[in-house]
Amino acid sequence: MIFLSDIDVDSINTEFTPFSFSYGFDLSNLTESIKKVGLINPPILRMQKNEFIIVIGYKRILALKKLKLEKTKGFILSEDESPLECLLMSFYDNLSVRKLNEVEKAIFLSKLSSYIKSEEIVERYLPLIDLPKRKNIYEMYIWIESLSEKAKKLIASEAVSIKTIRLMYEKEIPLEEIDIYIDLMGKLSFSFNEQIQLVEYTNDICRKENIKLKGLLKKEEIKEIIKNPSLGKKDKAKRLMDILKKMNFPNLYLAEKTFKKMVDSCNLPDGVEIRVPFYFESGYRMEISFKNGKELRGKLKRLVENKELGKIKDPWKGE
Amino acid sequence: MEGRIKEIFVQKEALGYPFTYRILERLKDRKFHIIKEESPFFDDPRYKPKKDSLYLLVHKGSFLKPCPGTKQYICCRYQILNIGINCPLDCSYCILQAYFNQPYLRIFVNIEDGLKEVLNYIDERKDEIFRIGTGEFTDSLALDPITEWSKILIPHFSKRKNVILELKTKTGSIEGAISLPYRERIIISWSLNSPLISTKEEHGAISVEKRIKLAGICQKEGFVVGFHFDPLIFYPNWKEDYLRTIDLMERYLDPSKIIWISLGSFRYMPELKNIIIRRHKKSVVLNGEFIKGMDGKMRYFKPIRIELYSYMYDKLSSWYKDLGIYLCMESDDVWKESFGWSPKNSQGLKDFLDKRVIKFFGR
Repeated sequence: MIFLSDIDVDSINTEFTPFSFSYGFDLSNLTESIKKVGLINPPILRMQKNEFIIVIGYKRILALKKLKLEKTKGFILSEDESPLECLLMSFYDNLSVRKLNEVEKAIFLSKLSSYIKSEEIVERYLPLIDLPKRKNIYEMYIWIESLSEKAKKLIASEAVSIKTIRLMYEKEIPLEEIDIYIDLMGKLSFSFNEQIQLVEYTNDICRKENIKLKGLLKKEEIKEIIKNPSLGKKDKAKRLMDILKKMNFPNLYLAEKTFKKMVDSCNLPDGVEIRVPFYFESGYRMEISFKNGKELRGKLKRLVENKELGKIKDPWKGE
Repeated sequence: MEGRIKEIFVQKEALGYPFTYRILERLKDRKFHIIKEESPFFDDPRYKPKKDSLYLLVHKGSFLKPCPGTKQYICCRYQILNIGINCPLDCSYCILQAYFNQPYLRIFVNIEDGLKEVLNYIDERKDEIFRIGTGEFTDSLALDPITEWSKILIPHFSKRKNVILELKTKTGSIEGAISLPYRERIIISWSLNSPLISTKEEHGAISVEKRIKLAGICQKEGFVVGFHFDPLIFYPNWKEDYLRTIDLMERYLDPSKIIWISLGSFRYMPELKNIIIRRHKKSVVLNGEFIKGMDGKMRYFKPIRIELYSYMYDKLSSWYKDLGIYLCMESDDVWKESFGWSPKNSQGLKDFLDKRVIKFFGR
């Protein structure tokens, strides 16, 4: 049973919200809208121990409270409605108008897990929130719910990619180290690919050197970059990745630098490039851009006469 | 090894094969269950081994499959006789950990039917030499006391002229093979590593020294033997450690009765990395400079591989010149850099190894 009623906004509990999973939202548009045209869709509430629990309309109630409005219309559900029915009502209502962010998915699945077995959640509910029907995915989202607020905020705002979070989960990185990563990702500006590399590189280095992430970040050359006031967030991230690459792949790093020097010393004609295959696994390639045969002949002649070209070799080979 | 098996699951269809009953008889004190489905899939990529569960199944596909080499690297064109999947050992670097959804021991009970087809196929191609092994998806001999695979397979392969059967193991289960009167065209091989890697990473396997001693016994019993240094692991002091293994080989083996020694550096599918990190916290196998190879697998950066191979090649060759040393899944330039020669392509490597077969067993 459901009926419409006038309700004191103060009697609505916004702390205990078992049926809401909204996270990482901005109320400004909603408050503006309520200011101009009032509340168009009344919230749905459930009476519980002399107060109202929000079933649908958490953000609307927050907006009303922010605007210090005292009264609102609201639909009241009878107490017969089970908590699971209320949660699903809220879920389908949200699903009909928007996509959930990754943290909201985590909160919803976590709340749902109090009422439904994991197998059924995996089978029925994961596809509804665009997740594959896999138990480990479900478990990862339950784990996301346990992350710090700072981490969840960055995940919800997509400042940290879900792929990065998944990698941390798969590597079983402890929660305190996740917070260090999150802090770093907030301070510096990494692309999504760099975020993944950051986790891979640092995890590899810590394992090889048998040190903790905290210890790695205390290394002088890394500290200098992070604290350098003259560098922007992106430059800091790039330099940090470069240092981590050097620490993780010392031979490859040196080979790439040495090869570049060799190529630079050749002073190749404009439009001629020597390309290094991925990780030096296959042969080198030269690319020549030209407008006509005459120009090509000219470039080829210069290349044949270029003695430095004859010195190009695998960079790890001695004299 | 059989002591570790606690439960047996028999596919209903497997009840139609005598092999099933022989295994059940040998393990008659274990609980067994009849299952309808082929074998369950576990929806949990966090690989948890179930090495105490043995599944007796009917294999639907072909028993003989070419080794899944890739075009980008030189492959020896080995053929795999697929008698079972997974093994009771728990090596930290094992690729089978990535097949997380069926983490239990699987044995194919229709092996005798499958074998007939395989032998027909071989007999119809008398001009071709088949190098066949059972040790790719399982250890060839670890389960021999239960399966008696050696008794089923050896007599058939030993009497054919265009095939060799290689039984590759890290265990000491050689009694079954030795008890048979067949020696021709059967190669018993051991995977070798440095003593340190063997102790730290090859859980459940016998020591390197025991493997080499057993290989010496097999040689004295008239078997041709082979060795596989795969995966070679790059770590501090690897040179001294691998040299200790080569020293043991010198002490216990007759090098003229070694048909081949393969070298392969550690490589892995990217998805294996986190499984190793999670399952083998003290493992050192990932502590190298790994790059993505042309086949999509992770492998050591090229100069590191060359250093590993050339060192092993020099040390082994200085013991004996004609050991049939070859590289597993490497490029032409790595061959040349490491060995000073190259078979150029997969056909060239197949020819090289086929010639070793002819040299040791004739045609």
